[in-house]
Amino acid sequence: MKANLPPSQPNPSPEQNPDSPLPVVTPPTTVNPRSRRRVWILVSVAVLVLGGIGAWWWIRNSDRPPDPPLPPAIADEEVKQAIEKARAKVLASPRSADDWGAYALVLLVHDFEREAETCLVEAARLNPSDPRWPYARSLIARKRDPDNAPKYLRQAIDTNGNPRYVSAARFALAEVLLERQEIDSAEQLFRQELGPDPGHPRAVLGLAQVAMARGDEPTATKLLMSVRENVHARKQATALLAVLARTRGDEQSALRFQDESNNTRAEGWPDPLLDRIHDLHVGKAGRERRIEMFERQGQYAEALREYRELLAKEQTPKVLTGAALNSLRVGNHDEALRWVRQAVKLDPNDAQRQYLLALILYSKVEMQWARTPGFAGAKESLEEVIGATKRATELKPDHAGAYWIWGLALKYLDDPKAALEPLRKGLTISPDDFELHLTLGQVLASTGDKPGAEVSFENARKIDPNDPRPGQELDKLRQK
Amino acid sequence: MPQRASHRHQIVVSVTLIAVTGLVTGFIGCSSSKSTTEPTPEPVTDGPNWFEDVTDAWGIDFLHDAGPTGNYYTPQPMGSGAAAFDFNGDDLLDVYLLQFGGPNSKSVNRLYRQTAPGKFQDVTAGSGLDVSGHNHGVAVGDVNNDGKPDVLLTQFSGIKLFLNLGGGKFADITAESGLVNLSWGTSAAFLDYNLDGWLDLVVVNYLDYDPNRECRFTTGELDYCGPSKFPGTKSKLYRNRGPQSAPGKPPSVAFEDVSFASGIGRLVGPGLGVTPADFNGDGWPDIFIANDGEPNRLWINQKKDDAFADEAVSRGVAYSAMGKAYAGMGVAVGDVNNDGLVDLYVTHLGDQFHTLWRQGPRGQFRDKTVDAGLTGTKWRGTGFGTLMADFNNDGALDIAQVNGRVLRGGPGSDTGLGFWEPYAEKNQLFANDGTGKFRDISPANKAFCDLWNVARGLIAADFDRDGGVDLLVTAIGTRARLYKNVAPNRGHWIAIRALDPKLNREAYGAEVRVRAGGKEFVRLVNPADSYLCSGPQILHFGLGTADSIEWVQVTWIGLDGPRKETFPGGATNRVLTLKRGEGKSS
Repeated sequence: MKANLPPSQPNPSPEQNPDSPLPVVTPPTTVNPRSRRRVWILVSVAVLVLGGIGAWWWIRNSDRPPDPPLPPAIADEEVKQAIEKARAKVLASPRSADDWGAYALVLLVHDFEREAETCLVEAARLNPSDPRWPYARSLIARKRDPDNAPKYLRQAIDTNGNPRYVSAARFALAEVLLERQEIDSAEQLFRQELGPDPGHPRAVLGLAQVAMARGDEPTATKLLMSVRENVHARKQATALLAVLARTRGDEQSALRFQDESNNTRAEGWPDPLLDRIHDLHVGKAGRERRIEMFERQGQYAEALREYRELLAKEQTPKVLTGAALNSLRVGNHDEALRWVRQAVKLDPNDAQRQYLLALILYSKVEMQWARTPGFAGAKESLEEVIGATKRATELKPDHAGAYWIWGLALKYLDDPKAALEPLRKGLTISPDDFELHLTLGQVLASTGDKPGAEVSFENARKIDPNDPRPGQELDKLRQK
Repeated sequence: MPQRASHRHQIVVSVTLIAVTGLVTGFIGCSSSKSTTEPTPEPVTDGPNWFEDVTDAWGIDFLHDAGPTGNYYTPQPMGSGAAAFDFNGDDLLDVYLLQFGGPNSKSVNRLYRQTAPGKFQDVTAGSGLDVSGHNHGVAVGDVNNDGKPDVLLTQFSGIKLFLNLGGGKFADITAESGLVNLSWGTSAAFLDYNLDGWLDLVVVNYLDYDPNRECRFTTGELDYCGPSKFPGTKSKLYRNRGPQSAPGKPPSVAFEDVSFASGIGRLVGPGLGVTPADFNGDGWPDIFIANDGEPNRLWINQKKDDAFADEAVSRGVAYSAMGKAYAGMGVAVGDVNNDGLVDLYVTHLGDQFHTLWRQGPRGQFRDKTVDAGLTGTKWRGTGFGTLMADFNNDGALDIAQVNGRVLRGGPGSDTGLGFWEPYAEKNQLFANDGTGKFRDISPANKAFCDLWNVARGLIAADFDRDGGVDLLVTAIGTRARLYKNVAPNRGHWIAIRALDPKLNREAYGAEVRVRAGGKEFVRLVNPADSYLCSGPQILHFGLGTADSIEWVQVTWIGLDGPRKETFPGGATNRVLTLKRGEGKSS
């Protein structure tokens, strides 16, 4: 400390400075001990008060939450608003763990993980007994710092808070530990979950894996069989049953379970936090996620509704194409054609867009042809189909679907020989395409190549034995 | 009273001190709690240094052209591979390195001839292999059995086959060969799946890519797209119908696309890695394909009608032990615990474990990553090229892998990699203790592991023929690097070439066992593993302290069934050429 002070000036003394005025001599005073004590008391009280204020100030400020972080750049206005709204709540009540956590989840769902992490730390500090915040931290850690994920899961469990979140954390931790072959700890956690819910399929599946890891294959088989019908467990359970069957030399069962697993769609376990935060997803990306979900579930009318809302805001080629596709799916060909034409006009250099234009045009021709074969305008439409498929395959040479539509259009134009090339190219790309084999068979039959047609129809039948069309075509061929 | 006053004074001082100390400790507490969230420096563990960078000294000046950056063309970060093969038959391994500059780029693939051990010369010009394009993978095999290895390239939207004409010249015979692959090809492998003596071809295809799809990183910046954004594509199998000759036309080979008949073309899967081997021990080559984020495939040869059946699920290699379909990239194959059965190691993303599936009994695999000690690594990375090789010749296969992200967010800074910096990671090296358990010796191996790179291809080969397995690494947008093996106290070794004189080429698919020092070691004649790469056709065995070998047994494959021949042993530390028919049948 001393070293940092400026050099002290020596006190001038009268002796050293003869020019200085004479010092005033004060008479000696007698100090009253009582007043001295009073001074001491006053000083002490003052110091105490100051100390107290200092301590209060420090405690207050050290406990004061930091400013909630704001992501540096948010391009999507809707996302920006959602984030600002959630942040404003934090600013209004900076000691509310729930508001910090809610803000963190909004950030998290929009992929602002760093900022979300900061908020979750604060939420957990303000309310250490809420399992949601360490659980959410574990979700981030699993992506960014997987070795630390168990720490947060343990914290979530230790809160003994909302059982739904504690249970989710316990399952996640059990599975992480199982993957790391910490078998006993994993088993303990799975068994804890079985307590309140005997037969919980996730716990049973976990215990089956524990049994497998210990080499207790009969127990593993029994447990896996008991959860085989559960929609969330089925894919994994049947895959493991296939492994166990092969291990005991039962190849037939191994292949049967293997097929079952391969043909089962993976369905993740419900997650109380993840399932909830998806609803917080707004803006373009949120809408895209919802559309993807609707399309995956075959809810095309709902997907179209989302697209219509988007179209009201922006008529980009991408949005127009999506709207056209879903419009086609719900059977509104005219609307679909209008939109896809608009999209192609805006950006003709997109294979998928050109293909969709061809598909919609072709579908319209096909329907009208069924009513009025060779109707007026069919040729022009089919030529437009061919133009669009050609452009699509120029842009994307591995577009099997475009080659198929191209071949079909040529078939309708009664040029089967020309149709052979695009159909064969399509099959080079996608040799297991049922429609390509079927169409090639029809085209070959019309060129008089009966053996070739037969092979194509047989191939189609092999791919989908339940579709009657290859059989019908083969019957027709054999009657000729 | 003075005592009381003094006491009060002490109280005041104490309270003040407490307040002040509180502030101070508060600050100390803050700073210490902050420091716990910061990464602590990794203690450097002792371990042997096995490699030194000899790229410049050995004359490899290849700089990978990744093409224009900034448009986030998703095929770009998948990178380009390399091949190590003896194209001119002088018993020295040459190197072929691929470019990704695009079809109109001036950057062409480069061929380096090894003129003397550890001395390479660029012989690209006029070789016929000097092609540009979006080149990903390379496979090497003698497709017309003329004794000269030919070259197959996979590209984004295409494949090319080059016939080795001799004299350092190659001819593009793609059109004549009938090979067509319009999909996004990645790794490829030659194998004789129908045992007719002609090398067939499997090409792994990746995604049905749509260049108009835009993807962004979490910070909102444009980035490459992950595989989940596009559907997968189907891989290809081509049957080699043998050489074709027509008057006035150069020699060629005819391939037939049997993807549909084989079943391989019926299942989609974003495939990246491939390795063929007789996994179930029936004498017929099978095919393992690593898929990115989808279950892997183990195509078991049905021995007739070109048919294969995917049995990855029941044989235990489709998923990790936890039933997860990780992002499979590179594939390494080898017997890590010397039990006579080859195991599989597949690299994944950095937030997943790379998986070691150990085989046993034959044809069945179990995820033994944890048992093998491969989960507690010093750092994590998105692994691509990987392989098993005995770097210190102690008789146990070690594992090397090269890393580099496909999406931004990497930890590197001041790497000098420019645009590629956010994708850079460090490579890893794991030493086998002899029982199939591994120790991470990456920190001690600075040359190979302490360099930020976006690495993709990895080849292990004893380039300079000094008995130590060296490494060749390809990386996006930067130099390919050669690492010479400088492992101290290396054990004895033997290198084996297994030739089939009737076929006039290396006996792809043969299994070679060496007995030495009371142990047996197994290797497969198969240059196709790792990622986008083709390795040497010569097999390297580390033998530890054994200074002689007792015998060598080769299981040759063919239509007359697997045939075993035993060859006499002898001295170690040499290259042994074994020819079918010259051993003792057993």
